[in-house]
Amino acid sequence: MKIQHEMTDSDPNPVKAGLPELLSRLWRFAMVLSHNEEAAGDLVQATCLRALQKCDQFQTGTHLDRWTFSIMASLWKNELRAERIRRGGGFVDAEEVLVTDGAEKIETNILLAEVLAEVQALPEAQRSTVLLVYVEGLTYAEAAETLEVPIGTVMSRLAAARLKLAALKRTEDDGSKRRTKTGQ
Amino acid sequence: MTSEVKDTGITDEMLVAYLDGELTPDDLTLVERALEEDVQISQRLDLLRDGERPWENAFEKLLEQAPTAKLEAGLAAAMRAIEETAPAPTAVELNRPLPANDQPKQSWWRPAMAACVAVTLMIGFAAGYGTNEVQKPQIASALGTEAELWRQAVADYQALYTRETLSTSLTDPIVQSAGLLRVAEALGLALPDAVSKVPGLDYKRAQILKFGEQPLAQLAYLYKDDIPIAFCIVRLDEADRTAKNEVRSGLNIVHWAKDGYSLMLVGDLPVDELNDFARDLEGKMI
Repeated sequence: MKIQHEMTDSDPNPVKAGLPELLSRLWRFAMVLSHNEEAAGDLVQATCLRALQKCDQFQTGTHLDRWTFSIMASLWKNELRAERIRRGGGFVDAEEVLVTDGAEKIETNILLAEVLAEVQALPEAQRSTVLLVYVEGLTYAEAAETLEVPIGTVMSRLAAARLKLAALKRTEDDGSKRRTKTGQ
Repeated sequence: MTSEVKDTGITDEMLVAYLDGELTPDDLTLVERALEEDVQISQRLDLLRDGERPWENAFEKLLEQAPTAKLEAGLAAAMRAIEETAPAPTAVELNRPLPANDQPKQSWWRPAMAACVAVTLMIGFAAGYGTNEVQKPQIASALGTEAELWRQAVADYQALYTRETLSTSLTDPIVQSAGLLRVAEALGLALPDAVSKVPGLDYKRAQILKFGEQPLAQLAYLYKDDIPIAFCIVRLDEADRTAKNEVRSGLNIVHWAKDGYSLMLVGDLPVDELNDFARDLEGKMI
């Protein structure tokens, strides 16, 4: 019996070979975009499909992660977000938490969970830019290309996000100072 | 959100770019000078700095929560859909033909998604949820018998496994026994501890998935510390039959049926060795 090798390291198709290890990061980006586990799953799958369809356009030696991120951003912007709104799903649901359920949740550092919650509260454009630049480490230029916006837009989104988060931090700091004083 | 501090020409965007190391040399000089000369600008910088967070650590947590098995299954379905839709319209597409005009922006994913739905594996964490699902193809007659469909679905899924997929499995014997018990209970079939002790295979974990409405047990092993092997069982009420070999998704399979249960062992290893392991497992299932 002949054993075929469709999924090995020697696969000449770098997209097919590289997608499996990108899935978690794609899902994370999809969660940041869609705020919803079901939509995120759909978005990852649609992204994989599109990437596989367009695999001849991928240039070997370039970053597969950035290439797939830009496919995902474009899909979300042009197709799935609208589809989801039409279906009445709503892509910004304040009640839905970015941190999903699971046994790990209990052990999750509360402060880190708070960071996720704060990012979740940002507008979609800001949180996707924050993820690409501050988490995925893209340069402004790379993030601009991925999101198909000018660099200036990336910069203003980051500034807006930082101001919002700074305000949250300072409100919180003031609150704890007051609590400390009351406690004395 | 652009807001300049006084009339210095220094914007919030420039200060953020300064913090992020993204300023051009000219702007860098400008900002550094302004920071030295104008306390309001340095206060504004402090404010923007307060908007920093331990981004990577926080988002690492989200990464850890990715439903890996479900995503792998989605990718498997996508790959299968591509294989089926790329060369020519196939049976899968008959319900929803590709439009004759080439407008991929509007239509590219719909036929492909239709094919995906047919063989979508929805698999969650084994630990406690009990809702993991391998969806039964809708257009079964076009693709083969139910028994063939489940073997194909399992093979598609298995083709995505690497040794790393199983590297995080807990190897504590008590955890493994508990996992087997849980899966056996869901399946309604005794799974003796012995199935986790096959000479030559390193047992990793058991999880319960679903194929249509039927619970599907998947026991994962590693062969020669490198090749993932799966032993899968589902109740399809097939007539008893002896072991047969086939290749699906590039993987060798040995499959048989007994007492209403369909069983298969699948992996990328020579068929003779696979058959030896299957015989061993068959003996242990009594």
